[in-house]
This record gives sequence, C-alpha cells and structure tokens, in this order.
Amino acid sequence: MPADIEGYREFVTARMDPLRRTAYLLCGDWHTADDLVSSALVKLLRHWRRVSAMDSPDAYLRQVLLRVWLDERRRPWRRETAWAEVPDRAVRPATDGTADRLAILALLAELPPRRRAVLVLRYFCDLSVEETARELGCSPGTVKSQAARAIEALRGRLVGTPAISREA
Amino acid sequence: MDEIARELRNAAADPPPSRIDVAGLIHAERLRHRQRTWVWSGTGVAAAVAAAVLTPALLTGATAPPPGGPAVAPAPGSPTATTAVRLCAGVTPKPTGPQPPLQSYGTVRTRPTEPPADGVVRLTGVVRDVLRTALPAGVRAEAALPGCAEPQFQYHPRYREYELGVTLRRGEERGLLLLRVAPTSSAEATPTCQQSMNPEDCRLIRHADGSTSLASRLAAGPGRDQLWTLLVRRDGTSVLAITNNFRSQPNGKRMESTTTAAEPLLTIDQLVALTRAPDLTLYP
Repeated sequence: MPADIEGYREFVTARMDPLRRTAYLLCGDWHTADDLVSSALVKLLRHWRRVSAMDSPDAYLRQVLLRVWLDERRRPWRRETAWAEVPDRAVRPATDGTADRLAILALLAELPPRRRAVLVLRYFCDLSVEETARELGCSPGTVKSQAARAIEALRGRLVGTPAISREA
Repeated sequence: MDEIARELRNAAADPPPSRIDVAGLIHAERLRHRQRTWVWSGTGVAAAVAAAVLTPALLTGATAPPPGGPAVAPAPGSPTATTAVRLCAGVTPKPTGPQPPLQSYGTVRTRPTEPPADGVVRLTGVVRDVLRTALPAGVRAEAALPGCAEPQFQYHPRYREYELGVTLRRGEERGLLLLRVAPTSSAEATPTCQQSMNPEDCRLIRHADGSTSLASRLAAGPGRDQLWTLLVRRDGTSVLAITNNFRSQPNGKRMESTTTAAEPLLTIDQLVALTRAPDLTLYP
C-alpha cells in the first residue's frame, strides 16, 4: 500500500468525472464505465508510489483504463451471441437530446475498438497525435490513419442518422 | 473536428451519480495488502520452519540421532568459524520441484557464493553465541528441531534462505522465535513501513552503519502480540526475526490460538538487536 493515500485520494477525486466520461465513451454504458474506472483505480492504487513520481500520472491512468476496457471486451460474457429469434429490447425515451446521444454512441459502437479509442483520446481527451500514439502503443502515422477513417465513417453516417433517429 | 468533439461531449454530458466508492477501494486494498504481507512474512516463514522441524521427525522417527550428534568441522577458509560447531543430523527440506537455474548475467546482483553446508555451520555458530549472550535474564532458548540439543539453522533450497526456529522459555512462559537470513530481494532493498507486517504500527530505524531496520507489531487478539523486525544490511543480506506469545493450531476445521505468555519474551528492541549481530550475514 502506498504511504501517500491522501495524495492518491486527491488525484482520483479531481479526475473522477472526466475519467468516467472517457470510460463511458469507450464502452457506451455507464454501469460498465463505473466498473472499468473502479478496476483502473485499484490498479493505480497498487502502483501509486511509482506513478505519483511520474511526469504524467494522467497518461498512466488513461493507459490503464484503456487496457482494462480492452481486456474486458475479450471476456466471454461480453462477446456477441447468436439468437434464433431477436430478443425484445427495452424502449428508451427518445427526446431530441437523447436521440442524438444514442446515435453518436451507436456509431461509436460500430467502430473497431482501437479506432474508437483514437477518437475518444484525440477529440474528447484533447490529446495530440503523439500523445495518443504513446498511450495506445502505436506510431503517430497509425493514429492519423485510424482517426481519419473513424471521422470519415462517423461523418458519413451522421449525415443520414438524424433523419433515421427522428423517424424512430 | 470541433463537431465531433462537441458530439462526444454532448454524448457524455449527463452522467448518472457515480457508483464508485474510493474510500471502499482503498479499504479493500489495504486489507488485501495486509493479508498478503501477513501470509508471506509471518505464516510463510512459520510454515517453512515447521517443515524443517517436522520433516526429520517424520523421516527418522525413532531412529533420530542422540542430542549433540556429529561435530561438523568449519568449512576451509571460513573466516568466522574458528571452533567446531556441533550440528545434529537434521534433514534439510528438499524442493518439491526442479530448481530454477542460478542466473549468472552481469546485471543480476551478486549472490552469496558460500556453499549452504558451510553457511549452516557458520551461521549456527553465530546464532548460538548470540542466544547465549544477548537474551534477557531468565529467558533461555531451546531448539525447536527434534533431537537437537541446541538451536540450528536449516538451509531451505527452494527459497535459498537459512531459517531457524527456537522456543523461548521463561519459567512456565514460552514463545516462538523465528529467524530468517536471506539475500535482500529487490522489493526489500529500500525498506519502507509498507513492507512491514503491520504498516499501521511500524517504525523505520536507520542505523549508523548504513543498515535499516523495520520494526512492527501486530495484535493477533486480546493479549496476543506478534513482533516482527526486518534488518536490511548494506552488504545485501536481510535478517528477519519474528516472535510472539501465542500458538495457533488446527482444531478440526478451525484454527485455535492459545496464549503462551503474558507478553512476548523479547521486546521489539531486543529483536532488532538480535538481527544486528555482526556476523549474521551471507557475505562474511
């Protein structure tokens, strides 16, 4: 256990809100987002003595969150399952705001995980190409190409989405 | 770009109340850490010593050698062993699996080069002298190894450690004393109270010779205390000592503890002094 528990508590409290939002954009579900953030915070706590001395503990925490999310996606109960008949789904209230929100989340969910992570890190966390590449462990060129494809896919679908969502 | 950033912010703009309990996470992690420290430091050593104590009895049975068995001569060139140390024929526990190879890369810290058989003789001589002279008045040390008249180190190949179990007695009172001499692991190289048996009751002592001691106490129940100290020497040796005033043993599926003395027969300072015996090192 790290000695500087108060430092850890302050650090976590200050970042809790953006961290939850980042996790939510990655996984698309607030309950799962809270689980992911909890797992990441436990891992951070175990290495807090070392992490607190780093230049950027935030980058470390984001990396942990990304890994936790990618690991979680690989778990068997997160995989898609085949159904003979499509099960009923709960009807969500669809005001204009929630419709847009659900639309963007649905579009994000269609992206491959690392492409989604690039979008969230670049445009929600406001990281540079180089920072994003460091956190994802890939080259800046890969980040640029992934971001370009993600934006292209998102824009192409966003153009037609409002009409569809309003009809629904 | 701004449009996408705005869409993302809008999508995450209305979070429900958080279910994350940071205080609960810290508390759970603290419990987990304490349990791990306890298991690995206290119970781990106790189990190893118990194995060392019980194995000879199980293997030799009634044919155990008489107390004060064969005298083992000190290793040639051993710098500290000047007189013969009598060892009883205890059986050294054997590893249950294949031994990992000793690494010999330049980046690995220096390992003790003394053969374990010589180390047992030398360290046993050292600890017998210490126990004869350094114990408080009225307290005597008895060997925990069956068939042995005097305390004796055992080498544990699996962990490459030297371990010794002793029963301390003062009148009707008794207590356990465990000693472990081992190469300092990288995790222990910079001692902090977080590595101690109980980080909430621990003090760090820096000695003038550059070595460092951690001294910790754990209340195992009403009137039951365990004292723990770890000395990290500058030469790369760590000496762990544990004593207590209770005994735990299984009763059916439950562990039952009985108090064996009003308080541990050694104080924490005496325990620290014991570990600081100059020749209790792996690099003589």
